[in-house]
Amino acid sequence: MSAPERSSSKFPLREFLVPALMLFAVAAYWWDAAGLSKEALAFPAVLTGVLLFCLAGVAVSRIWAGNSAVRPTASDDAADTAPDKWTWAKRLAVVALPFAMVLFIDVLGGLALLFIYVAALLWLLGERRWALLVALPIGLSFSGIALFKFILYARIPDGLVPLGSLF
Amino acid sequence: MEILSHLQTGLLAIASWQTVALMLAGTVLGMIVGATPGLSSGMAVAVLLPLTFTMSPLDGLVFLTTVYVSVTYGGSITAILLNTPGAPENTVTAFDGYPLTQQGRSDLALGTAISSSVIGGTASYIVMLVGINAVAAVALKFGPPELFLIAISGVAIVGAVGSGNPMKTLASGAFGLLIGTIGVVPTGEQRATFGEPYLAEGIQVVPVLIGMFVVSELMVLVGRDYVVDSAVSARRNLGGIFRAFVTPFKHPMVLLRSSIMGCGIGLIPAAGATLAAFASYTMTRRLAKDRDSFGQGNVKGIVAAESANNACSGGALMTTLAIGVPGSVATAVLLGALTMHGLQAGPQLVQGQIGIVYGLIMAAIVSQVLMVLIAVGVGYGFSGALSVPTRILIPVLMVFSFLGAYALRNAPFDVEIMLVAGAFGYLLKANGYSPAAVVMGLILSPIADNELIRTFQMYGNDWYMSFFTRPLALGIVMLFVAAAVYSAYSRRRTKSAQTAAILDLADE
Repeated sequence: MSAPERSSSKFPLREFLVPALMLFAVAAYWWDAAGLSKEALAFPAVLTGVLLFCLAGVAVSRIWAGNSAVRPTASDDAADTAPDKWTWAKRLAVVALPFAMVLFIDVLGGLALLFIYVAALLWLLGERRWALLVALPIGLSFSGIALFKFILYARIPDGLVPLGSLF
Repeated sequence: MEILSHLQTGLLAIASWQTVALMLAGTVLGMIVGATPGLSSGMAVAVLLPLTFTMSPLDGLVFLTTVYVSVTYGGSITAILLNTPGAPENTVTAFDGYPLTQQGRSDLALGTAISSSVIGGTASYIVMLVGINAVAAVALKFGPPELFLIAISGVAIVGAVGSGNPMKTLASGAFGLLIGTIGVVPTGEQRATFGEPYLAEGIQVVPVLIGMFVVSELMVLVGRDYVVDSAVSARRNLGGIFRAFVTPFKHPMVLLRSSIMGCGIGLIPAAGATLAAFASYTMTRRLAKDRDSFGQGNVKGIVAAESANNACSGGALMTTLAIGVPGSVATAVLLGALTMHGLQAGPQLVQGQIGIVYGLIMAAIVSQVLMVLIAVGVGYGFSGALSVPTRILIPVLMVFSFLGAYALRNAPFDVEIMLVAGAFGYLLKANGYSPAAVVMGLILSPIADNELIRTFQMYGNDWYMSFFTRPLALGIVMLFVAAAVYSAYSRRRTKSAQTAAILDLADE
């Protein structure tokens, strides 16, 4: 993938996002795990030390490089179309939509959830052909549920559509 | 004689229509995925892993292994025809493959690639057939300190040999190892489970695999209208592809050297086929008399790259099965599959589950034959149908990812883990960190954790001395240090060479 363009400021916030998330996760980990035995905490302690050392190294090298850092150039197989201002929102929708919907899987059921998700995602990604907007969600949700229900015996909730009567 | 007996056991284990059908399906799927840029071997195995939940361990592993083996060849098709490698390990194939296409000789390139892949792959699996018992015998001598070090090496080497920032890669690996410690400890305590019952078993590998390798990649593809936007105008002749099969035999030293290098590099945990392909190509070019012709359509370049990257799979699989440390990202997924089927990789597996291990090796060898038959068809019939709109591809793969993660424990929690891993994986990639290192860490963490606790129990307060007083452990530590020093030295050398080249250009 093409590397994202970096901001020209010395301390672009974006570069601290991943370290910040990692540090947040580490803090949460230790908040819950503190108080366990020495044996249980030895390995996590070593790993935390290594992680902090590496993140410090990343921060130091970034500050050292400063504005003289070579900007990574986009690779030849970068986006075939220039990303529009809503690309970030579409990316977020790919994960945020199912994250919100899966909380209601018992109510919606697997078939309805997948149908709504696929239709919404197709629309968000720019599909406007009505035939495809109807056929693909139906085809995908039915084939996916059938495959996982019959081959993997996954217990997928019926919800709004009783799967037992359909398969 | 023992090898012949194992060979027979392996052949009998796969002698069923169901297993053969799975090999065929795996080969076709792997080749299609491999030929689709943006879909890597790790991704292919990860998204298909849930389909093996209800298969027998052998059938599931056979299916995934044939996918893994054929993805690498599939990626060479687009590398040759479109100058767009289907997977990172096919990057080098494009150096000489695409110029041949431009010269109207894509038949030669495709036939050479097929033949080199099959020969390199078959040779490595024969080595695996003969050598896996010996590797397992050595692994049996490993105690908890050695196993701990080997597990850590799987993550450390990703940082040393990868092309990214080593600090960021090591941070990713350490993070993966840390989140892999979540769950019930061997001492019986619950570590960082936050009272969530689904976390008592730890963070499940399958949802994280799918999230990091599939979902994150799909988020990248959102920025494109098509996966690849190029059309293929080259015409191919079936007879030309077949005639090119003998090309590798015209360069026997290149073929032999590259296959050996590929197999050897595959044995190194986490090294991977990309390193094998680059190393083999670089060495072949360095030793060639006609080195200026490399990059202009020299078939030796294709022979070197394709035989090495396929030979790597045998070595990687041997390390994964015999020692329990993945030789590559895709074999890390296979390790996850083994765990999912209740099998523990290591010398006990090699010596106790002969049907599974040798069945797998025989399936990999047989799949090389299937690959020839299918690859010729795919290579000839390929018509640039890579103009797959991403708005279609993304929902299709997201549905399978969603269901695959859910089906593991019928738990919405696993779907949430997959989506969080996907979003995090995207951020990691966008900022130069390594999702592969995180996944490696997650898979290897339980091994490292358990072996470290056993080391404490064996050695008490002097546990750290065990890494220096045990000869095998000391040898592994020294290899670590040597690899780290060599990596730092070669990065510095590369940087100096680049700086010198820039200065030369400026002087001109």
